[in-house]
Amino acid sequence: MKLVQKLFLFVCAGSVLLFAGCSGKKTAESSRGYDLYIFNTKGENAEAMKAAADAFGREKGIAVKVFSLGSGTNSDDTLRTEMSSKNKPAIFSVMNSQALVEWVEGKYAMDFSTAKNQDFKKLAGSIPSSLRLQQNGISYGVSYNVEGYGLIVDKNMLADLFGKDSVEPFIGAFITATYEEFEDTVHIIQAYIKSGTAGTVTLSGSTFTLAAQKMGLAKNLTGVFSVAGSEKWTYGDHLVNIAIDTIFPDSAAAKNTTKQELEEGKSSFTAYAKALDLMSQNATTPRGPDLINATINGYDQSVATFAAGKALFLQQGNWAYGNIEKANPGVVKTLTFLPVKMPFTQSDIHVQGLTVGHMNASIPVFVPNYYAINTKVSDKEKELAEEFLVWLNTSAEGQDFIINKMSFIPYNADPAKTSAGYSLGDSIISYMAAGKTITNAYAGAPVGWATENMGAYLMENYLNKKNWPDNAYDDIAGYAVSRWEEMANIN
Amino acid sequence: MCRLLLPVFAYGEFMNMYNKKRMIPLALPALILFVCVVVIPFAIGVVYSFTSWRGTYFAGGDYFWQSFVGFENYVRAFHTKRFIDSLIYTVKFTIVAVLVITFFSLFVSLLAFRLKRGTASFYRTVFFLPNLLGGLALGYIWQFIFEIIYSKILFGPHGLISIPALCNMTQNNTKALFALVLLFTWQMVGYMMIIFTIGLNNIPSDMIEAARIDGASNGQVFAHVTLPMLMPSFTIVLFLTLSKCFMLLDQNIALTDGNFGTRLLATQILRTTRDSAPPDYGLAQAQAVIFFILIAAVTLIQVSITTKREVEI
Repeated sequence: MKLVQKLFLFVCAGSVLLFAGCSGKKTAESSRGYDLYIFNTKGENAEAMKAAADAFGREKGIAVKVFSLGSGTNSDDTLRTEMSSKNKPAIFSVMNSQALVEWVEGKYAMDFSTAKNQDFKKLAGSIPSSLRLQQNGISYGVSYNVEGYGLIVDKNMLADLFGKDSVEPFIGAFITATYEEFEDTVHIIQAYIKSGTAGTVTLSGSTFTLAAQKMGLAKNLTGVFSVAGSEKWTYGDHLVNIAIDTIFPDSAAAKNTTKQELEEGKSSFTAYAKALDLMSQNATTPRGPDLINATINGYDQSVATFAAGKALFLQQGNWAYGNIEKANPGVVKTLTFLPVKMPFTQSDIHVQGLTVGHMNASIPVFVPNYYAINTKVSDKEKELAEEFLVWLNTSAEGQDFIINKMSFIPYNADPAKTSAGYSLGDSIISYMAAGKTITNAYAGAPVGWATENMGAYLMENYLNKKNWPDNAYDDIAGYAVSRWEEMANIN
Repeated sequence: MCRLLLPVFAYGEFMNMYNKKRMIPLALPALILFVCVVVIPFAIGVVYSFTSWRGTYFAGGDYFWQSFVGFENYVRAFHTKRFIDSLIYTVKFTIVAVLVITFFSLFVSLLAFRLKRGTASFYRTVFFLPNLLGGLALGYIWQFIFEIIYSKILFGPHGLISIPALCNMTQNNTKALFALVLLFTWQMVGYMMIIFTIGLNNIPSDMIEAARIDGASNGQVFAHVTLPMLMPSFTIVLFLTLSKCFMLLDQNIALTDGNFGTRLLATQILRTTRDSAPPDYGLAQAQAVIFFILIAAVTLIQVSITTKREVEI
């Protein structure tokens, strides 16, 4: 018996020692090997971020540690682990106002008005209000960059469909066209693809004639849209966002919505359902079980289908550029964005100053990520963090890293002067220059509403069925509103 | 945890047989490790399940005792529709999978037992191979099999023979359950077969000979000699399959990712932190504790029932 007691004590003592060793506080800068720690969420710019941090470190004579995760990896759990550890990152990433709640409640995110560095305060104050990361009017984030999405189209494909001279006029007319004109165009092109019946399409009053015989790239077409039916976020997040943008001016407004606002916005979700119906009916894969088959219609497959010229449109963002290039380097130089259209009427729009015309002609351009500063690091490191963000976003060298090395479009880009250096990036800049942008209000929807609920509901009940029942649009809109209310606890 | 405790009990028996004094220093490193990486985190986890833990901080205070919420997380877990749904789905899956796996592994081990030595070990190796693959890899392989080979090449409308029930198995709640059973059977049968084979080898041949001399038919020998003598193997096989089915995670994520209401309990616990902002780690932890109690209860009941049926010789 005594032996067991001894053993127990020994184990206890051993584990206490072990844990004491873990929690022993060492704050010496030299022992941890860095002066500033940046937690970077975007895997795509990992190398460029490291290079930028090194350049800043050389300038200041300090050691900067950058941690980046692989592209597309969910970084939440890793960030939480780092935040619970002894060596916390000084700069970390927050995706949107919903994700911010956690870091404000845990007292991690720094209120920018408490910053010591005057240049940093100026930088935070200069961020346009629509691109800020705020909670209760307090700023917590510096934008990474801006991204945009829409219907990606290859100009060479348009040239083979309508003739070389019609490409630019077609794009111009398409942007301002109404949903009804868009819908007719889709049907006419789909008929052309399926049975070769040439026709004319009318957009914004101009007519464009399809080539009498399919030629060049047009011969490969098998459908108007390449739809990634198994990727719930493509229609659960991005497509539905366009409808949400007509109800709320920004994600903060969406987050603080009332039951009345949502009920009034129901008609926008009906418009969304109609657009989704149109897109999924005219996809390269017929709507049905095959459309949501992950092996046939995943993200990569949908990009490959588009890149191979089998579809005219792909609803994706500029982040897909690299994947399109990998699938077919031949098409990337001539890509451009066209706006996604939905059958809105002015009565569907509840945002001050927003018109149907603007909705039809705009693409969503938004900030996908923000840099936040951790309050729980030393004052010295906080100041270095502020200096780094100022340097990255205002110095010529920092901007060079953002634009040329990371291939980002800076949130503070002057559309008149900036060139992204690649087709889709430049297309976004041209929309920014024309002021034809909408936002990402969907980021204010309850966490999980978009992908795990909206997206799953559509995938499991609609995209897998060829024929939709008569009440489909109403049912989808009803689900969108009632699920949102339920998840946001507003009754 | 239960699974990890077993070797410790086994050690206990071992200790009785040998010099206790020498065993203690030998067992100590493993025991310390076990306490540090299993017992202590487990205890912390139980404490956290009574707090509103958010992953990096405690809502309502700086320390855990300031954010105690009593049994609120447990009450909420049972009011979470997804938790209840996944619990029911897990139980359904476990019942079907345990029956199928036990049946097939016994069947296969009996078949191989009749073969010549070389052929038998060849078959055993083949059956055992799927067990060496990781759960995620296996899930993706079978996703391809179900979505392309089954739905397109073999059983689709334009396939060899059109069998709608075997088409798009990942796109329907019930079909996906059987798809997962198929996958998991493929993975587990080889392992369980080895356990049954050892059990079969341990049955003294004179017993079977005696039964035959008494005029017992093949069926009677199997029912009255082989089966009772295999009871210790059944205890282990049922214990392993029961607990592994309950805890299935990777294969579930890779095959259907919980779509069409196919979330198993482990997946549900993992995803709970993504279902809200800030992440509700307290709720997830409470679900994990319920999960542990459930598995412990089911497997302990099963072990006590099957052990009673074991025959002493």
